[in-house]
Amino acid sequence: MNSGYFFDSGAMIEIFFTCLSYVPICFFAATVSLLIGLVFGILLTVIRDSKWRILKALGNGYVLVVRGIPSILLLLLVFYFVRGGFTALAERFSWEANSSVIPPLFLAILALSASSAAFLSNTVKSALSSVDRGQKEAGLSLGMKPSTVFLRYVLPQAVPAALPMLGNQYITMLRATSLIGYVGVMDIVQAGKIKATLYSNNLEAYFAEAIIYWGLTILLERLFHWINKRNAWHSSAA
Amino acid sequence: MDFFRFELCVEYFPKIIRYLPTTMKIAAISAAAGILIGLILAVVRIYRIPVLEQLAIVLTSFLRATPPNVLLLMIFFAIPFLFQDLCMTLFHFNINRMDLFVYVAVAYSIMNSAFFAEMFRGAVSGVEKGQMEAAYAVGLTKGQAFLRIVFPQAVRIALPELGNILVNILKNTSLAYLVGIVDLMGAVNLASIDTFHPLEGYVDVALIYFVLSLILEKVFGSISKKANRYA
Repeated sequence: MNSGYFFDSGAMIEIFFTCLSYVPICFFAATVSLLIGLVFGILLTVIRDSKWRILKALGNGYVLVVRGIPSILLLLLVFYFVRGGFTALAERFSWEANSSVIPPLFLAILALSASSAAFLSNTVKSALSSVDRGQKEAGLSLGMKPSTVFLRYVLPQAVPAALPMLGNQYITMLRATSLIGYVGVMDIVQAGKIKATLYSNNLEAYFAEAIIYWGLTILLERLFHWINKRNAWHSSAA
Repeated sequence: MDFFRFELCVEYFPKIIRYLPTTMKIAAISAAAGILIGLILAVVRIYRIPVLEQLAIVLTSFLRATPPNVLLLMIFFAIPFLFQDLCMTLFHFNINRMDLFVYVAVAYSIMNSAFFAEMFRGAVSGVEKGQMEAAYAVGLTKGQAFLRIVFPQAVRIALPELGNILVNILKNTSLAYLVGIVDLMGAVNLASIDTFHPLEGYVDVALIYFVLSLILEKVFGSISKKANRYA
């Protein structure tokens, strides 16, 4: 069950390049989940700031629950819930489809979006509240419409504040996509596992995958650092 | 709607909650050991010991960057690979026969140490340097200055981060079932073995994790508020 008494570097390099070919699908899942999560996160923030207590409670409850459960649990919940629901609906309306027609990538992106919506809602909230309240009050006192104040004064200051947190969330999302193999997507980890079964090269496979994720994380961190430095030039941050 | 039966939730609950102690044990042991190892890593980085510092930087970056499940499985296979010969010749002990729990505890301790190392480093760097200089000017030794001046302020800075880390540790222990540990997540498979309906089991486990996370967040929220009382 282990790699025996030697570390097969040749196998590791081979597994490394095989897994590398599955990096695009991980990036795709991460990016799409983050974008959808951003849309829903903004919606969630609006809901959490609304005047009706029940909406506010629902929004806060959603964020609390999703932030409190592990990602793999959320993935499995979405997996079984959607497939079970599909089977139930198929029986009810007599469709001829098995629940396996649902693409696993769809389930993965659904679960990851749900998770990132909760985290991004907090991000958006803190970015918006980091803008000085006096800006909004000054704008309103000058007679501008609230929408104008928001679009021209609050938003351009909130976005550079949110970008570092968004970058961090993207890197976290990339790490979370390592779990989508457990709902059936062929991703980096699954590809490594399959290649490892031939000669039981499990250690080499996981080490190669760890190196891939480490390299990707470092590249993304550098990229976001550069982006944030360029942005900070324009903002009023001291 | 036959795919979700609430009575199964109730039926699974006692079978699943039996394994809550396992999850808590993994989390607690790996957190404690992680604090110790993380302390060593943090000390190396704070005091800038020449060679070890670069090693600590690389190690911390690696451990924080890789996904927990990949890291867990990698350490799981790396321990026998590295120590099989050593254990066999020195202790006549076949490391493959070691209890699975020990493997998992070691793996999570290593993983968590990186988080704690970053927390210690961030907290100590967050205290203004002037405090240390003022302490020296008044005549305190290095150890006294650290223990009496820097450390209390560092604790105040670190508390919210500590709460965050502990919640993450709890959530990461959910991956232990992938190597075969029967904890909360593994118990769902056990409980749903007759009925082939694990969904209700996972809903139960989600409820348990939610309550645990909520408790941790509230506790650390109130501790942080108390600590910042006079700030």
